Amino acid sequence: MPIKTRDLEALLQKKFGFSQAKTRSVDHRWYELRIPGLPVILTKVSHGASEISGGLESMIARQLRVRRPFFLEMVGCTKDAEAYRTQVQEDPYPPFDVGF
Amino acid sequence: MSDKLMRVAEPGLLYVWPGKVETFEPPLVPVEVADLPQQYLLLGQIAPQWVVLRPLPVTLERDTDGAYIVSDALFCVYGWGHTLVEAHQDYVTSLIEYYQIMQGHEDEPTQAMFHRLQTYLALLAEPLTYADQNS
Repeated sequence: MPIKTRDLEALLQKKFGFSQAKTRSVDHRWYELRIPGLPVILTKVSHGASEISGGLESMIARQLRVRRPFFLEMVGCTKDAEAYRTQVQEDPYPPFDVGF
Repeated sequence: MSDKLMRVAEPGLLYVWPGKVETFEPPLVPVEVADLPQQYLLLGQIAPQWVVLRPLPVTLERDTDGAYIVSDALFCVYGWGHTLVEAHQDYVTSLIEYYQIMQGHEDEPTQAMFHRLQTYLALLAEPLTYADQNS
Protein backbone atom coordinates (compact mmCIF):
# COMPACT_ATOMS: atom_id res chain seq x y z
CA MET A 1 0.00 0.00 0.00
CA PRO A 2 1.53 3.35 -1.01
CA ILE A 3 2.64 5.73 1.71
CA LYS A 4 0.55 8.88 1.90
CA THR A 5 2.67 11.97 1.52
CA ARG A 6 0.99 13.76 4.42
CA ASP A 7 1.55 10.73 6.65
CA LEU A 8 5.25 10.69 5.79
CA GLU A 9 5.59 14.42 6.46
CA ALA A 10 3.85 14.05 9.83
CA LEU A 11 6.03 11.08 10.71
CA LEU A 12 9.27 12.85 9.85
CA GLN A 13 8.34 15.83 11.97
CA LYS A 14 6.57 14.28 14.94
CA LYS A 15 8.47 11.03 15.34
CA PHE A 16 11.90 11.67 13.86
CA GLY A 17 12.43 15.33 14.72
CA PHE A 18 12.69 16.80 11.24
CA SER A 19 11.66 20.40 10.71
CA GLN A 20 10.54 22.13 7.55
CA ALA A 21 13.45 23.88 5.86
CA LYS A 22 13.13 27.52 4.92
CA THR A 23 12.93 27.77 1.15
CA ARG A 24 11.09 29.84 -1.39
CA SER A 25 10.21 26.72 -3.30
CA VAL A 26 6.83 26.66 -4.94
CA ASP A 27 7.24 23.04 -6.00
CA HIS A 28 8.53 21.21 -2.94
CA ARG A 29 8.55 21.03 0.82
CA TRP A 30 11.99 20.25 2.22
CA TYR A 31 12.60 18.73 5.63
CA GLU A 32 15.87 18.86 7.52
CA LEU A 33 17.42 17.15 10.51
CA ARG A 34 20.61 18.10 12.31
CA ILE A 35 22.65 15.32 13.85
CA PRO A 36 25.86 16.44 15.56
CA GLY A 37 28.96 15.65 13.52
CA LEU A 38 27.05 15.02 10.28
CA PRO A 39 25.98 17.24 7.40
CA VAL A 40 22.36 18.31 7.63
CA ILE A 41 20.03 15.59 6.36
CA LEU A 42 17.62 16.92 3.75
CA THR A 43 14.66 15.31 2.08
CA LYS A 44 11.83 16.70 0.02
CA VAL A 45 8.30 15.95 -1.05
CA SER A 46 6.48 17.52 -3.95
CA HIS A 47 3.48 19.79 -3.55
CA GLY A 48 0.45 18.02 -4.86
CA ALA A 49 1.82 14.49 -4.61
CA SER A 50 -0.65 12.60 -2.47
CA GLU A 51 1.24 9.30 -2.40
CA ILE A 52 4.85 8.15 -2.39
CA SER A 53 5.54 5.73 -5.22
CA GLY A 54 7.99 2.84 -5.00
CA GLY A 55 10.66 4.77 -6.83
CA LEU A 56 10.27 7.77 -4.59
CA GLU A 57 10.49 5.58 -1.51
CA SER A 58 13.98 4.62 -2.65
CA MET A 59 14.90 8.24 -3.36
CA ILE A 60 13.67 9.46 0.02
CA ALA A 61 15.41 6.57 1.81
CA ARG A 62 18.62 7.60 0.09
CA GLN A 63 18.17 11.23 1.15
CA LEU A 64 17.58 10.02 4.71
CA ARG A 65 20.81 7.97 4.40
CA VAL A 66 19.21 4.62 5.12
CA ARG A 67 18.48 1.53 3.05
CA ARG A 68 14.95 1.12 1.77
CA PRO A 69 14.03 -1.73 4.16
CA PHE A 70 15.07 0.46 7.09
CA PHE A 71 13.03 3.33 5.69
CA LEU A 72 10.00 1.07 5.41
CA GLU A 73 10.48 0.12 9.04
CA MET A 74 10.58 3.80 9.93
CA VAL A 75 7.27 4.24 8.15
CA GLY A 76 5.92 1.06 9.69
CA CYS A 77 6.84 2.35 13.15
CA THR A 78 9.22 -0.51 13.99
CA LYS A 79 12.19 1.89 13.94
CA ASP A 80 12.11 4.91 16.21
CA ALA A 81 14.06 8.17 16.22
CA GLU A 82 16.85 6.79 18.36
CA ALA A 83 17.30 3.78 16.05
CA TYR A 84 17.34 6.11 13.05
CA ARG A 85 19.96 8.44 14.52
CA THR A 86 22.13 5.52 15.55
CA GLN A 87 21.83 3.99 12.09
CA VAL A 88 22.80 7.23 10.32
CA GLN A 89 25.70 7.88 12.67
CA GLU A 90 27.11 4.37 12.49
CA ASP A 91 26.26 3.24 8.97
CA PRO A 92 24.87 6.00 6.74
CA TYR A 93 23.77 4.63 3.38
CA PRO A 94 24.90 5.95 1.09
CA PRO A 95 27.87 7.38 3.03
CA PHE A 96 28.09 11.16 3.00
CA ASP A 97 31.40 11.09 1.13
CA VAL A 98 30.39 8.59 -1.54
CA GLY A 99 31.67 9.57 -4.96
CA PHE A 100 34.06 12.24 -3.73
CA MET B 1 6.04 15.81 -27.17
CA SER B 2 6.26 12.05 -27.36
CA ASP B 3 7.24 10.38 -24.14
CA LYS B 4 9.89 8.58 -26.14
CA LEU B 5 11.61 11.83 -26.97
CA MET B 6 13.43 14.01 -24.52
CA ARG B 7 14.43 17.53 -25.27
CA VAL B 8 17.72 17.22 -23.44
CA ALA B 9 18.29 20.93 -23.16
CA GLU B 10 16.50 24.14 -23.81
CA PRO B 11 18.26 26.61 -26.13
CA GLY B 12 21.14 28.17 -24.28
CA LEU B 13 21.90 25.15 -22.19
CA LEU B 14 24.95 22.97 -22.40
CA TYR B 15 24.68 19.30 -21.68
CA VAL B 16 26.52 16.11 -22.25
CA TRP B 17 24.24 13.30 -23.29
CA PRO B 18 25.87 9.92 -23.27
CA GLY B 19 29.34 10.92 -24.25
CA LYS B 20 28.33 13.67 -26.62
CA VAL B 21 28.59 17.41 -26.01
CA GLU B 22 25.78 19.58 -27.35
CA THR B 23 25.74 23.33 -27.16
CA PHE B 24 22.82 25.58 -28.07
CA GLU B 25 19.83 24.29 -29.94
CA PRO B 26 20.63 20.67 -29.24
CA PRO B 27 18.57 18.20 -31.18
CA LEU B 28 15.88 16.08 -29.65
CA VAL B 29 17.53 12.94 -28.48
CA PRO B 30 15.52 9.75 -28.79
CA VAL B 31 15.33 7.83 -25.57
CA GLU B 32 13.61 4.50 -25.85
CA VAL B 33 11.84 3.58 -22.66
CA ALA B 34 13.36 0.12 -22.92
CA ASP B 35 16.78 1.73 -22.64
CA LEU B 36 16.14 2.98 -19.11
CA PRO B 37 17.76 3.36 -16.68
CA GLN B 38 20.37 5.52 -18.35
CA GLN B 39 23.06 7.71 -16.92
CA TYR B 40 23.96 11.02 -18.46
CA LEU B 41 26.15 13.94 -17.52
CA LEU B 42 24.82 17.35 -16.63
CA LEU B 43 27.08 20.25 -17.54
CA GLY B 44 26.80 23.97 -18.26
CA GLN B 45 23.98 26.42 -17.66
CA ILE B 46 20.94 24.66 -16.23
CA ALA B 47 18.88 27.69 -15.21
CA PRO B 48 19.28 31.46 -15.38
CA GLN B 49 22.48 32.23 -13.47
CA TRP B 50 23.02 28.60 -12.44
CA VAL B 51 25.88 26.63 -13.99
CA VAL B 52 27.10 23.08 -13.52
CA LEU B 53 30.87 23.49 -13.55
CA ARG B 54 31.94 19.94 -14.17
CA PRO B 55 30.11 16.87 -15.39
CA LEU B 56 27.57 15.72 -12.84
CA PRO B 57 26.40 12.15 -13.43
CA VAL B 58 22.63 11.74 -13.15
CA THR B 59 20.49 8.68 -13.67
CA LEU B 60 17.20 8.61 -15.52
CA GLU B 61 14.90 5.75 -14.62
CA ARG B 62 11.27 4.70 -14.70
CA ASP B 63 9.24 4.76 -11.51
CA THR B 64 6.98 1.89 -10.50
CA ASP B 65 3.95 3.96 -11.47
CA GLY B 66 5.28 4.74 -14.94
CA ALA B 67 6.60 8.21 -14.14
CA TYR B 68 10.24 9.21 -14.52
CA ILE B 69 12.91 9.88 -11.93
CA VAL B 70 16.17 11.76 -12.45
CA SER B 71 18.66 11.54 -9.59
CA ASP B 72 22.31 11.85 -8.68
CA ALA B 73 24.34 9.69 -6.33
CA LEU B 74 26.65 12.44 -5.09
CA PHE B 75 24.14 14.69 -3.37
CA CYS B 76 21.13 12.34 -3.37
CA VAL B 77 18.95 14.93 -5.10
CA TYR B 78 16.08 13.68 -7.27
CA GLY B 79 13.45 14.98 -9.62
CA TRP B 80 10.16 13.34 -10.58
CA GLY B 81 7.75 13.88 -13.42
CA HIS B 82 5.14 12.35 -15.66
CA THR B 83 7.45 12.98 -18.63
CA LEU B 84 11.19 12.85 -19.10
CA VAL B 85 11.33 16.61 -19.42
CA GLU B 86 9.28 17.20 -16.27
CA ALA B 87 11.54 14.88 -14.28
CA HIS B 88 14.66 16.58 -15.58
CA GLN B 89 13.32 20.06 -14.83
CA ASP B 90 12.21 18.96 -11.37
CA TYR B 91 15.72 17.64 -10.75
CA VAL B 92 17.26 20.96 -11.75
CA THR B 93 14.88 22.88 -9.49
CA SER B 94 15.61 20.51 -6.62
CA LEU B 95 19.37 20.76 -7.07
CA ILE B 96 19.19 24.55 -6.86
CA GLU B 97 16.95 24.39 -3.78
CA TYR B 98 19.35 21.90 -2.20
CA TYR B 99 22.22 24.34 -2.81
CA GLN B 100 20.28 27.22 -1.26
CA ILE B 101 19.35 25.25 1.85
CA MET B 102 22.88 23.89 2.34
CA GLN B 103 24.27 27.40 1.98
CA GLY B 104 22.26 28.52 4.99
CA HIS B 105 23.83 26.02 7.38
CA GLU B 106 27.03 27.12 9.05
CA ASP B 107 28.08 23.93 10.86
CA GLU B 108 31.35 22.43 9.68
CA PRO B 109 30.09 19.07 8.31
CA THR B 110 27.38 20.77 6.25
CA GLN B 111 29.77 23.45 5.02
CA ALA B 112 32.20 20.72 3.92
CA MET B 113 29.42 19.09 1.91
CA PHE B 114 28.38 22.49 0.57
CA HIS B 115 31.94 23.18 -0.61
CA ARG B 116 31.84 19.88 -2.52
CA LEU B 117 28.57 21.00 -4.06
CA GLN B 118 30.17 24.30 -5.04
CA THR B 119 32.74 22.44 -7.11
CA TYR B 120 29.81 21.23 -9.25
CA LEU B 121 27.25 24.02 -9.09
CA ALA B 122 27.71 27.79 -9.14
CA LEU B 123 25.44 30.80 -8.95
CA LEU B 124 26.59 33.50 -11.37
CA ALA B 125 26.22 37.20 -10.73
CA GLU B 126 24.61 37.57 -14.16
CA PRO B 127 23.12 35.10 -16.63
CA LEU B 128 25.50 33.78 -19.28
CA THR B 129 25.19 35.22 -22.76
CA TYR B 130 25.50 33.31 -26.00
CA ALA B 131 29.01 34.78 -26.43
CA ASP B 132 30.01 33.69 -22.92
CA GLN B 133 29.04 30.14 -23.62
CA ASN B 134 30.86 30.00 -26.95
CA SER B 135 34.04 31.78 -25.99
